Amino acid sequence: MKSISKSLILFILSFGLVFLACENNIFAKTNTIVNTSALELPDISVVGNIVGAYGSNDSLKNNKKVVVEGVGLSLQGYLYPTIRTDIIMALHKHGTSYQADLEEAYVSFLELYLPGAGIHIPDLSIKLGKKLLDIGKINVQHSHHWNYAARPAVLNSFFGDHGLNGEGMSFSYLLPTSFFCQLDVGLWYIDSAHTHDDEATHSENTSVLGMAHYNYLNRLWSSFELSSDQELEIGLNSITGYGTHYQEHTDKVTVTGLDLTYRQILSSYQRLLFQNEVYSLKREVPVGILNRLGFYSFLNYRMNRYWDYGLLYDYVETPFLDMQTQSYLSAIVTHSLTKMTKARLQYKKSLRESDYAIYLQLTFGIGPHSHPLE
Amino acid sequence: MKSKIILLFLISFFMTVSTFAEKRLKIVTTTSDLASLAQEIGKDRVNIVSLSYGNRDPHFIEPRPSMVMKLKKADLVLLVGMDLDIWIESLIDTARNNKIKIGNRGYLDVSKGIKKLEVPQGKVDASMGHVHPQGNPHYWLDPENTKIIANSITQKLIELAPESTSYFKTNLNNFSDKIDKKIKTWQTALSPYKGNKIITYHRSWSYFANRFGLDVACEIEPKPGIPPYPGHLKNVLEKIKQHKIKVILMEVFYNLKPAQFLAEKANIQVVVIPNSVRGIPSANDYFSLMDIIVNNLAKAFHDLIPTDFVAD
Repeated sequence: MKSISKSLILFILSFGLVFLACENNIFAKTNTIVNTSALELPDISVVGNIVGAYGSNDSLKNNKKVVVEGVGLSLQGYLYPTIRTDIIMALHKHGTSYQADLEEAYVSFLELYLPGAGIHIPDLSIKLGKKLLDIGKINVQHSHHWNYAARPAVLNSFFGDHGLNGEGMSFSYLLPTSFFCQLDVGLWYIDSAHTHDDEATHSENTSVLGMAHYNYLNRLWSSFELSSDQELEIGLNSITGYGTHYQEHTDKVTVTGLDLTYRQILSSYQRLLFQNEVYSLKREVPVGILNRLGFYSFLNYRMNRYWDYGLLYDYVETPFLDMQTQSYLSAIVTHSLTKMTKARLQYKKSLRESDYAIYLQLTFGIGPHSHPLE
Repeated sequence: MKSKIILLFLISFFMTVSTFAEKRLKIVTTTSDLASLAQEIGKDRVNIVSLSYGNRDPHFIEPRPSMVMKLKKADLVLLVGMDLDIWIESLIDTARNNKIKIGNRGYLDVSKGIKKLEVPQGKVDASMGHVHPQGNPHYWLDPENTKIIANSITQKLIELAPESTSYFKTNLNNFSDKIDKKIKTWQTALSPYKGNKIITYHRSWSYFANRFGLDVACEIEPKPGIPPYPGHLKNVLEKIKQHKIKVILMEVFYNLKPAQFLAEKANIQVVVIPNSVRGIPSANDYFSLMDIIVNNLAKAFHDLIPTDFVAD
């Protein structure tokens, strides 16, 4: 109860400070004369994720409940013509309580331009701070941006149930090729407390490893325009660091991966998306080296502006000595009320056991929320 | 001797052409309408790429990495602005092309100088549907606005390539003359139907209606971006009957079913037309786009309403 109060107070205070800083009170009556002069404010938005779950297995997280998985306050804007910042403060559900979390707070130098020092490298950009790491396609996305209610198992198992999130810096270079080709290299410190389940549940959940301590991350992201309506993206990813048990024993982890995304625009609103990520994990522990594989394959058809349908297959070999193999097939229907507000139904069936889970999700957003190119 | 002179001439000619080719300004536009207008001014001294075409809803363009490479090489990016093409911001950031960054010389939001319609007052939020806080962004459908756009583009091209000032100014004058003549033609075609009420699918025809004296009675969407539901269609039907509305005007990419439903229930014609260049193959520039819109609308009115009909 105390921890809920502290976290909630911190979150509310942060929220309140933003509004106190506003020149115009947004709760002003609508018949107030609008100040039409320019405002120097960041883009402020609120995003949320509400999920109801019903499953045959009682160990399903939040089974037979509708919970607010998380709510985030986003502040985005430019600090300088070539420097911008993105800050996302969130309340996430951990077990039975909510914890305030600085999900992301990073500064992007869109190009390396320091006129005082005479340095200008236009194709090189730098990010530093705390962020969801640029590995694969999904890890960098916030939950309100996903195409599914439940993340693919490989991402939870290898990267932790909140995704790979670290503090550090990365360099991003747009290679001088005729096609899009960007190289990201970074060093990130991952707080293992964010990659574990709560201590009370950790011993029961042996499918989630996550990464911890310092990790080197590399990504080569290319995209090929096959026609004006077709695009193929290929990404090569690697992350070298430590597993979340590194303080207890030798726990070195290397994950290499490939992501492949094919996108075809069929008409103004119709679109076909075929997205895949495959990861190979090598984990060095005292008893030897564990090699594990995980991947997902997602096919999505957007029928019109409001409805899209998806099929998701995911497979993972859990990165522990007593390896479990998990594979699932999901059918997903999404109704987009707006670009930011969606209702989703996902039926997820285990292909190894008789378990199933049904998710009903509502993601929403208020305000001008933007994402870097993903 | 003669052959040497000819050879010298040919060498000079090809050197000149290649010089101009190298010096061609590379322009990227967010819509094919801006591409068409920029082409009118820049002609063979510009290379233009549009990131979207008129058969796509401009609110729903998905940014893709391949668009980044087009922006990376650009000398100038042209935007409609007013939050219609906000999707380009992440692309500009990723392209790392300092010339086209927001506020820099190679960035032009052509909505500056446009007299904006339907600028909301007070608080704006999603309860109003998808409302653009800066006003209705579909201003290119008023041909008078294209003169303002063309002038903005001309000033920018002159700033970037001052050696071609007289060339761009000549093209602007030619464009202005041509558009003035065409506006008269279009106004003549639609003048018998001035004052008539029409229904549109989305609130995208306000500038067009304003210019040609038409009255948009309501939209098939109950609010911008909100799909029609039966109760609203019933209200629209009542309005059609009450005001004897004869025409529904809608874009090629919207769902035809609600309009077809109304057409079945009432004596009303559905006119499906592009609202943007290359919305259909024959709308290959701004003039042909407006010809198609005006001619189809005039024909629809003519088929349903005698020319001496007096509107309510």
